[in-house]
Amino acid sequence: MLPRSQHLTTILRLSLCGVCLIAAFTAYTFDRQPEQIARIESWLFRKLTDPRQVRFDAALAEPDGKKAVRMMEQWTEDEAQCLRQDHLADKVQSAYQWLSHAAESRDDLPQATYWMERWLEFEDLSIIPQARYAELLCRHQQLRKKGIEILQGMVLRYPYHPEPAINLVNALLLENRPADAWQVVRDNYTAIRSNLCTVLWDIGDGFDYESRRSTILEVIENGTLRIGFSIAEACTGIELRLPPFLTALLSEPSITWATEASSAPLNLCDPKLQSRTGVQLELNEIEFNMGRLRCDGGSTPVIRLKLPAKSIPGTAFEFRAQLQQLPTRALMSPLRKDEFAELVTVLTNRGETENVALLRRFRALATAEDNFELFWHKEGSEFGADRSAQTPVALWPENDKVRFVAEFTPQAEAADLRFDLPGGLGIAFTIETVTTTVSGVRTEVQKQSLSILSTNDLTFSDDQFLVTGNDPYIIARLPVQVAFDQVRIEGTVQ
Amino acid sequence: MRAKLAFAWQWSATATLPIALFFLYWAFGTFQQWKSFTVDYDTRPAVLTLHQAGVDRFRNLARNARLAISPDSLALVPEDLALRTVQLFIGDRQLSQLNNRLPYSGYEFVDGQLMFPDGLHEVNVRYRGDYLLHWGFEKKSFRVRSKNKELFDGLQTFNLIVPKFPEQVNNYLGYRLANHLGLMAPRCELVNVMQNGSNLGMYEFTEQIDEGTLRRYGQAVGEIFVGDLVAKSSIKGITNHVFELPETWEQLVDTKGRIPGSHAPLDHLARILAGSPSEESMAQLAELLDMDAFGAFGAFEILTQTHHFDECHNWRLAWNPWTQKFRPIIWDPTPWNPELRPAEGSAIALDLVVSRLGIWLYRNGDFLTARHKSICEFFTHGKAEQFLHEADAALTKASNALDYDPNIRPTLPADIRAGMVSFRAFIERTFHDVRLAYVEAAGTVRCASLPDQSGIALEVHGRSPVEAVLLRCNQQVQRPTRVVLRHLRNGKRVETDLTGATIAQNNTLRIPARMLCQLAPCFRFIVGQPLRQHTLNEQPGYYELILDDLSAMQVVDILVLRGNEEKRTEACPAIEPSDLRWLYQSTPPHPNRVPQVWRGTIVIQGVREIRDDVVIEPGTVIQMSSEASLIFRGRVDASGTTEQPIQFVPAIPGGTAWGCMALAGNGCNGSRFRHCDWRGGSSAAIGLHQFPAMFAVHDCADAELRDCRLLANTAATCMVHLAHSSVKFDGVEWQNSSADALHSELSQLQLTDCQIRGAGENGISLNASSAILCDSDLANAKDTAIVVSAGSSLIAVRTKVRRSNKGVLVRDESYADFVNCDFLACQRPLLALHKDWRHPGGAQVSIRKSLFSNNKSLPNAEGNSRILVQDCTLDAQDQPAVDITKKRKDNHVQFVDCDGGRTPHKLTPIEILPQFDALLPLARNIWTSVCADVRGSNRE
Repeated sequence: MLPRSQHLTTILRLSLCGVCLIAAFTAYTFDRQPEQIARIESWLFRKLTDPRQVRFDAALAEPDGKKAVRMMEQWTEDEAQCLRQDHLADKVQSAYQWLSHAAESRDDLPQATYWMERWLEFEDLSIIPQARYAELLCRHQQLRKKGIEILQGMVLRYPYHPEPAINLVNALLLENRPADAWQVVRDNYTAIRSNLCTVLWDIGDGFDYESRRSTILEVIENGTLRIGFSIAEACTGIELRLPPFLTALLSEPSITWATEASSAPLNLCDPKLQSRTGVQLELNEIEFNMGRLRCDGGSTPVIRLKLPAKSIPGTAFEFRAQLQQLPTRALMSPLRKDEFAELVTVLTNRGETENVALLRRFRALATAEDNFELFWHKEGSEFGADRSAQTPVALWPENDKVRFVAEFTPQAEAADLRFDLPGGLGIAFTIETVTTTVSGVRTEVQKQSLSILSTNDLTFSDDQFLVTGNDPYIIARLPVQVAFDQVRIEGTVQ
Repeated sequence: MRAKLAFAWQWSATATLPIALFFLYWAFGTFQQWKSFTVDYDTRPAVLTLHQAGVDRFRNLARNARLAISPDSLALVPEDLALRTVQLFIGDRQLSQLNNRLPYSGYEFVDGQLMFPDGLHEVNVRYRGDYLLHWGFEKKSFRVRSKNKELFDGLQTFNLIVPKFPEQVNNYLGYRLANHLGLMAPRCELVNVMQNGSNLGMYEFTEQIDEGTLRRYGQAVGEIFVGDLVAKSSIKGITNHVFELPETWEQLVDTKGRIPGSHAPLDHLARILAGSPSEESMAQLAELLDMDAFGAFGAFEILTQTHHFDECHNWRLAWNPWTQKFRPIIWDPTPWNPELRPAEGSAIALDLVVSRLGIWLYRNGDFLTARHKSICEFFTHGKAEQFLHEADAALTKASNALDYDPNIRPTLPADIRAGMVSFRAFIERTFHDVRLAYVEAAGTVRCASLPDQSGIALEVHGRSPVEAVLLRCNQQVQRPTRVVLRHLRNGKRVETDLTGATIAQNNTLRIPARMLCQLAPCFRFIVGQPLRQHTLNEQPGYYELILDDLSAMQVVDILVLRGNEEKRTEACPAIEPSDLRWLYQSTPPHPNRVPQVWRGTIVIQGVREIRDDVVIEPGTVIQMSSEASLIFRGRVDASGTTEQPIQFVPAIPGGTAWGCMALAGNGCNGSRFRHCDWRGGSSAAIGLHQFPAMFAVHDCADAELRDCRLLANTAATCMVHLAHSSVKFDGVEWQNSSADALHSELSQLQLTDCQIRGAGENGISLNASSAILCDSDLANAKDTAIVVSAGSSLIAVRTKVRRSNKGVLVRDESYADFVNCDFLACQRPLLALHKDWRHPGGAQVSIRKSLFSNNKSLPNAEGNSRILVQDCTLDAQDQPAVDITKKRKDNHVQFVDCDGGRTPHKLTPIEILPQFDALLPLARNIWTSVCADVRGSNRE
């Protein structure tokens, strides 16, 4: 026994010495070589987190749908310890979202709802899962009331966010409550919105949100938006982040800054901006729209300018535009439904003139937002999809109507034209001019020289086409059969 | 040698075992901490590296070991240099519950105990704080909430917060500075905390803000809004900008059955801020914010160089429903943050624009003036020096406490010492630079004649506001018929009328033209400080002063009043006009105040708000339609006569009630009502404003009602409601109020020769108010004739309290003194008690030279309340049950010299008691008529 115990003691002593040596080495490394510790740390971090992420990625990449779902479910169960502010929280949330979408695509609504519930239990302070969960509830007739309550609470708390408002409008329409749905649209339109713009400036090494950044108020005076500031440094670029969730048309957008040569405003919608001035323009979540800029509720609408030369330190910049606030497209779109045509009548009977005017205006906007479609044919042929073109329209909202312009470039020969108008019971269209371009020559076809052959789901009176059904179109004959490059239709929607 | 080696080998474990154990303990702990807060939890913006975790842990263990074997302890620190100790006890099970899965597990309250002055009491304890520092290390921040509504140091809930920076005292001194500037801030004290008998180290004992904070600062308990959308309370998918999301603000005041829409004031504020600055919106903002308080807040931001009140967090706004104004409460300011100090040699921030509210305020003349005043007062009234002394004392005490703190952060004492030195130096540097820029460098004012000679062009440079323009003429001057200050906005001229306040004295014309330079935004890169990159550049402000008959005045000198000094302007041939783009509300208008004159019969429909002064002639009848209300914002002079009283009556006799007549705001100061009658009103809620009475006086000083009558209001509301006001009632009669006849909050009132009869609830109800009551008669109150509560004080002389259910009720840290008064035929003539748990103390009442007769019971003082009945008559002949010898044991009423029938025991003069010092100026006059030789009010 004695030798054995001596043997054990020796091993113990040796082990203790070994630990001490490790301790000494560790102390030395911590004290003298912190960069080695950083290396060990990143290795350890990868060791501890990579396998978890790899399994998630593998589930995402799995081509077999059923197997992918099983893998993802297993992954979420294995990560049940993960909580909302952990590093892996985003992945867990993505997993719940993925599983819910997967269930939804299988038409398994209860399962989709279950996964959304799980997501909400995990993260109760996020807009998307709340809005989506409520939206799923609204699809069940028995649970719709609860879904609507959730969405109403969200709309109250986050009044300008489009997502809950859109879901609530749709849910209220399912409940046949167009008046309440309209109220939601109105409230969203008049909600408190951000008026804070963020400005980033580049001194030659790129834009960096964490360094050269500041905020400034937008100022709107008599419909003119002004954002003015100076930058103490010489800079080569300006990034102007307009207020998040802005929904507006910006006409005549320009930027001014004093250079040695000039300080004239530059029109940002000038197609030759770069060639004329050397200014490079980039947009994010902002679209060009017939010489204007359009923001439609994106969370980060950005105008980025690369200047042709470094600005002088202390240069004052000013961005200007005529601003016209609009509701988001997605929120306006349901207003074209027939229920709202009836609501117009109800509100008119109640004498709510202002309310009716706003509803009519938004319905006109929503209608005019939709694509217009043009069909054509020569003599002896029929209208068909192979001889058609679609185009988005440009809008000029006015007080009581919306002016629109639709440009088609069919490059075809036609004798008759068929304009398919966007549907919307009770909407009245006026076609003011039709312009054709033939070999670069523009010809305005007068209204009276257009002979209307027939209409569908439309009645014509007082120079207006009133939509009476779901497939409104006009067939018109041109004075002569021509091969044209472009057809441009201008008119109004009311 | 071999033997020595063998010996060393044999005994090696004595050295290697402790080292190995220490190492393993260290390694395990380090790994656990790093894994929890680096691998699992996302602690950003703070980051805990493995190296930092290891080094800190090693130093912490070493420090603990050294302190454990050291013979020194906290007890050795001299008392005047030591901090108070808070003793907290948390069981092992509860501790492991808190530490189970940090930080999540730490946010759930567990049971614990706290040492109160009278022993251990049950409390709830949890960890608090958003960031790693609060729960990531050995020393953790706590929130402690007492059970059973007990108050520890006057607080039900408080925080023990781990100091954030090497100097350890930032927030504590920040709150002290806030107090010096007159701002509301939580109570804060540096303390040592013992957990289960072991020293955890030095903490900031910090009040958790609630309605008690408002009471402490003499504010109405309205609402406290909390705007915090950061870290664990941030919302994903949205901007988290608190001023865009009013519904996300929490409300702190515990309002039973909170009124729906109580976010309305905040919503209103958010709507203003979400719009565009203009003269109108700036005026609305100035009406909604207590600009003096916000000016002090602006001064605080600069003096502490804090950027912690940003777009996303740390906003605490108190809403006062009576003054209709927001006031800021300082919370977690992290002042003089070492991580955000400008580098040595570079300038400190002279303006801090880190939030949308800041952007607005820096364009508002009222704010800029209030801020400047606050800064100047801080430097010129010796507050800066006083504060620096406090800072030195705090640093010394903290330094002593930290010597025995086992869990210091940073973990090297030398870093703390260095931090304290640079902290102290930075405060001084900040004060020096701010004083230089704001107090000493006033700037110049240039002047020139306008080309058409119609006025004077002025160009203001420098941050100091010009308070007035002085025109010295070579002859006696008359006040011009029109004085206007003009500025340019978008190329258009904007005029402000100053005629009303322009003063002509001898050969000098004093024009109250407040003029400021403008502060234009300039983005300037400052390393590592993205929030501070919105700096402001001074730009001269261009103004034109237009006076009728200027040429006839023969002006010889143009001076400006700036910082209480007269300064000569610099004359120049011409000044180029420029737009006032970055400044609004530069000067308040002072037009000639021509009062409206009301006479005959006037019918009021709906809500009518009158901003002008109003003179109401005798015999005027104001007929109030159903639910109509009349809100005066200017001074009212309603002088009726006995023959021709002024009447506020329902438009249709016996018709439905009208709303309210109110004096709202300090524009009504000095209003007078004589021989006026009010009848048939109720109350009103107009916009954000609540007027819970037929006649309301809110935020108005020096109002007076003489020989007036208030008769039969309807609905269960008060007849008269006072808040933040001072009002004199002389010969006023209240009859048959549906609820309280007179309810006063945070006001000062004086009633002489008044009669209150048949109050539906209380006759007079004082809440945090002070009152003098003299020669008055209160009878037939259904509940109580006089209620004195919530820290109120009352002196009553020669007043009768008759035939009421309760005569006088004094409670909750209130004082009342009755001299030469009668308490007649009441069920319970006098009660003193403690009711509201937020006021730890009871009531103190003294009754001197008074008469008790025909009452159904004795005066009664419960709990920690006291009543002293001195030299009074207790006439109980027809109520033999009232016998002072049979008073209950728990009745703390003391009868002194109350024998001897109706003859006073002593004839020595009666003094005003010291606790009524605040009322002394008001009481002095009536005190001359107090008689020592009489018991009761009878003078015959």
